[in-house]
Amino acid sequence: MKYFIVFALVTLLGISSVLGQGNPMFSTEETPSDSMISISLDEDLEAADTIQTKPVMMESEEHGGFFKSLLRMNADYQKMLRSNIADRGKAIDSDGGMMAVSWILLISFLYGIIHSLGPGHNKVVVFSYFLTQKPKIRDGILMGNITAFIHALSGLTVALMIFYVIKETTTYSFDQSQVGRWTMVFSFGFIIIIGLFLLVGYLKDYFKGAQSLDEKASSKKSILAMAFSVGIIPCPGTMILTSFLLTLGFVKLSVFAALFMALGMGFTISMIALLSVLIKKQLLRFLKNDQQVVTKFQLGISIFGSLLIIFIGVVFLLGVL
Amino acid sequence: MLVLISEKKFWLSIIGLFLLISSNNLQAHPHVFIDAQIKVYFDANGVKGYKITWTFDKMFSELMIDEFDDDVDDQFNEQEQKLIYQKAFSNLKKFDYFTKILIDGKPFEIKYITNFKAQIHDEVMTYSFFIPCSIAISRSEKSVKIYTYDESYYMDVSLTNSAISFANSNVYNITYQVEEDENKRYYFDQINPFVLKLSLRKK
Repeated sequence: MKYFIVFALVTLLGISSVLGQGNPMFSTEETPSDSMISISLDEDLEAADTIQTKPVMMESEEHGGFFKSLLRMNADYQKMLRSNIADRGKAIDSDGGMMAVSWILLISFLYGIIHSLGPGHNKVVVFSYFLTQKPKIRDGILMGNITAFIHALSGLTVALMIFYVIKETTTYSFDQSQVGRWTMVFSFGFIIIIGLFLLVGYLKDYFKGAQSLDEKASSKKSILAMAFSVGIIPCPGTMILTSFLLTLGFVKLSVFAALFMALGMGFTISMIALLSVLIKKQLLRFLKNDQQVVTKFQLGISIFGSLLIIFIGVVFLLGVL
Repeated sequence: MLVLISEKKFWLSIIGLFLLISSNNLQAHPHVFIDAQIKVYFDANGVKGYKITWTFDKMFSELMIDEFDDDVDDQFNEQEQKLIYQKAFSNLKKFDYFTKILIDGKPFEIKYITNFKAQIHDEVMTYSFFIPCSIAISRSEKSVKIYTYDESYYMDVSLTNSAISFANSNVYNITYQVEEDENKRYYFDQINPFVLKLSLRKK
């Protein structure tokens, strides 16, 4: 029963987490200019607007309760924080500095925490990865933070690249989808490779009839490889934040804001990694009296985690190809 | 600490945390925020169409203004608007302009829009456009639902009762309500879109 619950929940989480797409507003195809329909309807409409009646407004009803409110609240907080940064960014000149800068950095940190609770941060991959490893809290925090920093820094790098290189050479550059596309192909490809690598390792153990998989601790190399693969996709949130500050002319501040946002994202992703580590630790505690069951369970969940990593990599890769 | 909690509590915690992660995972990741307004236009026969206005968040607005306001006069001239239409709007046809309309429960296909305008007000960018949608209104009640959302959830589109207005509506009885529709979900069944529900009939 326990295994079924874990399987069902992890599958649910895996399937439901598909990376956000690029901005749907932007067109990568050339649209003929004559397709923009412009008729004089607007003037007629405005004239019609002079006659008004009073339609009956029904009060909006609240549905869904706490959980749904939490979801809406998250989006509203993101909007509020973004608006706050925008206001403070524009006010830096008139305010003269440090206070506004400090606020922007603090809000960027908070924005990072809330922003990374959304999709696109491959939390499921991080979660699945730690299902395959010897559960260590230190490793969870390490990987969460490294992932977040790589994620934010790749976003910052793309934003800087667009601002200083691409923008100088093209008339239209704001659509970063093409820049991000190849990074995603690379990232998902690498995630699949790591998943395969882990899977092959565990299958070997399975056929050898491993006595105890608990000896398999995650190496620094393995953590770095996974963090790199997961984080390398530029974070659109960081890109928008840093691009905004760059357009205002604050180059250093855009870099620091990205770093503070990374700290916030690192906090959230670490919590996800920790959750995975703690769940596995607790499961092992339940089963501690039966070494054979522990070994089978370890092996089963590790193979499942590896398959989930491959599955997510394949789904995402197909999505961008 | 973990060893002190009961098995039942442990599993409940896991289920709760999974739900929290998976759902927030899908909800909390818009990159652009839009406040929508809908103005319903009537004529002698009934509904003529809907003018949709989107007000973008300040940060995204700044980026778009920097990108497209070439002459830096804090407004989009005709040429700039044409470029915005081509590069940063026309693609939305593939996404039904983030608008789904149901007339008496049946979907209405948005074939085209007119009167697209991109404007700047107080450093904030707005898009507006008109969706022609003729609906004959008689003395029997007609129900119209207008959903506004981005299925990819790249953009969060919100709508409130105060964002609804009407034009030339004096010969019609109108009841309206904005809410997050409990019966419809998008983005992996996690999010309820905002909907404007209209009940219309001739006086």
